[in-house]
Amino acid sequence: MRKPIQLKLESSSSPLINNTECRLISEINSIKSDSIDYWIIQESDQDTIKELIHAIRRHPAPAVYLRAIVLLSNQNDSLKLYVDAQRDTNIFDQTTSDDLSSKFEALNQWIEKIPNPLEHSDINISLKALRLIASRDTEITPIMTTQAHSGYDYPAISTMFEKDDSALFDTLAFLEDQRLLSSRFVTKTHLCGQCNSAFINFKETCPDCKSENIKADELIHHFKCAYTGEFSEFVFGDELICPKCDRRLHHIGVDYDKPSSIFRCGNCANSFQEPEISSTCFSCGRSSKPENLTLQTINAFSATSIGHNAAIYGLESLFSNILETELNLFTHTAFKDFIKIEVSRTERYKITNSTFVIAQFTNLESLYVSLGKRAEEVFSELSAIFKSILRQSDIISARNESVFFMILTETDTAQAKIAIDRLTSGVTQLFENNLDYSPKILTRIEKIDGQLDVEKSLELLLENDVH
Amino acid sequence: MYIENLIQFISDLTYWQVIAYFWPFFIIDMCRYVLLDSFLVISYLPKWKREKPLRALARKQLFHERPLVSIVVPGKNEGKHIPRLCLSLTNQTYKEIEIIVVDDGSDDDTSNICRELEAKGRITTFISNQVRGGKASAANTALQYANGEFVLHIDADSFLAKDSIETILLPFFMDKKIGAVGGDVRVANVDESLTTSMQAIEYMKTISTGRTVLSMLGILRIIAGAHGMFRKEVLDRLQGWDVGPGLDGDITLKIRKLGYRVVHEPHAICYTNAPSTLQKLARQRYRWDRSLIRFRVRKHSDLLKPSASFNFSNFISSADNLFFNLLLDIKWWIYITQILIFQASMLEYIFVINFCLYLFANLVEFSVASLIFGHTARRREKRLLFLIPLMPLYTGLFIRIVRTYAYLMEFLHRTSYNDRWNPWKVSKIAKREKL
Ligand SMILES: [Zn+2]
Ligand SMILES: [Zn+2]
Ligand SMILES: [Zn+2]
Repeated sequence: MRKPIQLKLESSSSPLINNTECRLISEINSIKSDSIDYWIIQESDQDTIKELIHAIRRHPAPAVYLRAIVLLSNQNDSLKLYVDAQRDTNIFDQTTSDDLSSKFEALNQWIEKIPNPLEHSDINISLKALRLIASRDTEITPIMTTQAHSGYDYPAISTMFEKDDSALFDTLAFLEDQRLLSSRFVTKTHLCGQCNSAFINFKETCPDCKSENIKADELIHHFKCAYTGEFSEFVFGDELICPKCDRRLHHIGVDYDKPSSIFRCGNCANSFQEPEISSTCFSCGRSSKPENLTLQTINAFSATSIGHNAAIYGLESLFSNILETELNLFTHTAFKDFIKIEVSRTERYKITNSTFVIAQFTNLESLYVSLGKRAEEVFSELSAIFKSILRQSDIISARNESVFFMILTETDTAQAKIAIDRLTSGVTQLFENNLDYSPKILTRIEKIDGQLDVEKSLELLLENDVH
Repeated sequence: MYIENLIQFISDLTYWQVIAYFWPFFIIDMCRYVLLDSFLVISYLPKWKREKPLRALARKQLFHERPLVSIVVPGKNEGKHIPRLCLSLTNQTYKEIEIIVVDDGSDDDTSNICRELEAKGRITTFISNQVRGGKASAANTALQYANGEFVLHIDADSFLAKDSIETILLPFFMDKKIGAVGGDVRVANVDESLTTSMQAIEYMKTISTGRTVLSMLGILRIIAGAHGMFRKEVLDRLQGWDVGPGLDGDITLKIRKLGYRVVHEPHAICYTNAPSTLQKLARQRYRWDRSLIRFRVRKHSDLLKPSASFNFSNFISSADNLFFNLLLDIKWWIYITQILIFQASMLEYIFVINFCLYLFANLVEFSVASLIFGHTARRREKRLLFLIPLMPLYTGLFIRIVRTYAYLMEFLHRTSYNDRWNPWKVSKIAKREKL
């Protein structure tokens, strides 16, 4: 049975209503996280509220940070955007609590779907963000705020980020690139090219001496005498008199007009129509031309169907998932059993050889990032290459996302070398066609016999890589 | 047969008949153009040689003082020409220049082209007027932002020879009473079509020779807007140009009225693109010719009347212009009428003889122009000699007809007030104020 838990900074207080529990922030790790229905925060100090929200959202356990937060305060609290719900302190009773429980029931069920939501700790901020977005199943929208360095904030997820820097935007961009999130255009904003601050002072300056001391004046063209001069030359008391022909100007458009306006520099007396716009960042003080600012698109995001899937099962699963569907990957335990069988089989008959191969892709993660949307497609091709060198009787298993173990039956090490060379060149070719660089593939080929220790082989392979 | 008859006809002519049948040539055109021009050029060349040390001194003074020259370029939809002009300006032997381009309400990419040149520092100041105000107001706008001691007014679709600015400045340093100097205008696209070739010859006659002659006589009446250098203080006193068309002639007269001299410098060369078809040419001349009526006859009629400000050479300047353009135009029609009524039977002879006479005149004038050109003559200009036989038809028929039509329209309807040259808002005021 789950119940709402009120989180306090220090001095614990009596429960708000019967079934709630009050816990201190220092005890957060000892709370049985599957018993949390939703979090309650009731504080008067804004900083304390923030600290409590941070403590929850920055916690590594999905069952902690994904839970709904209810803020009890007055209606106008600006922090209500940063939590899941806000209720009036004075009318919080059993009915309200029950309403909230049913409201968050779907969310709590979602959290239960995560493998090991209790002890599992999410240290990958991208996965945390994705999980928070997917679990709410709504679009996260940006708000304009002077509180955020970039002028825009995603209150739904920003509280899980330690610092107010570009990590929030980078994470969202990464997730979108992976097709885990889809975006909807909201607006654009200029950011400082150096520090990404949105707080920029735009100034018109003299293109010659860069002085900000410039003044605009309108030009007046007197039709009758063709005299053209600045407005101030025509001002005579409260009338406009042409300095050339001494006539009074009556009606704009009839006897005179204003063809354009011109700036004069108070510093160097230069005249110009197009002042140079310069921008100075309030944060880092850097001055630059507006074209050197970063024009950032501000989007709203929601999880895609792949995103929903990855949110539950984890980000790294994508490649192995693809391999699994295409190649029939064996589990690591099964693979070890096969090794044992092969060892005893070959030792008994001593006629044929089988070979054990390790293939390790280095830098697969950055490959994943740079491929972005095409990752899925490229990984399918990659599995096709594996498929082409493996026979029906061969066995493949993924040690982790980037290390693959294979047993090539009835194959001696020389034949295995040929097959592995084909694999290596096929993979190299694939990436050369898709990317500017080719990822490194480390391989190790060993005869299967009584001496074989797969873990030791892997160690040796990785050691070689280091040296 | 015809030749024999022609020779017979000529040998039978008495002196009185020569005068009666060919009076326009012998009494007017030969005296005005052939004899006068030849005589003056004969005196011009020795003078030019004589003044060589003076010019050297003036040049020394110029490069010692290094006055700033503001180059003023007003124009509408001229953006495509500006880069070439800027290049010719940065390549000048005289470097103390600033370039002010005023875009008079262009509706093409002029503004973008010029802004880019301004950003690169090729143009000093670029002013874009969203609403068109006419050529005078555009030039006046540029004048507002000119910091130079001298102002060079130049058309956007032209470009300068390398030493043009240096050369056109020299007269100012030889005579303090000179207020403005006109530069030579030559056709850039000589070889583009027969029409441009004919204009090249015409420019040599009317500008290179014609204006040098007028300048030497002290009665130069126009500093071409396409290429004219002014003392800034003089323009400031006049507070710039008045409403066009014909603003070039107008400001020249005003400068003369202030007591300044204006001269022509045939060795300071500006190349301009001439209209390439007869139709375009007719349109251009129609516009130019009407301004004579408007400015000489209407606006500056005081120059022809004896008054306190009366000045003999200003009077001659105006009278010359009026007489040789307007009256000679009338004369031509009187002559045609006379021949058709009284000498209709001799038409074939009279026409051919006239053709030969004017061909001869043109040859003399071309030689004179070549002499004045001196070292600045280019091969393609010398080649024009072979087109001289067409000139009597070009000036005698084509230009005449366009001119007559223009004069008539201006007299009858004051059409220049409705000219596309000026925006309607300006034309309306000008017409009401009888400018
Ligand atoms: Zn006025
Ligand atoms: Zn300045
Ligand atoms: Zn900054």
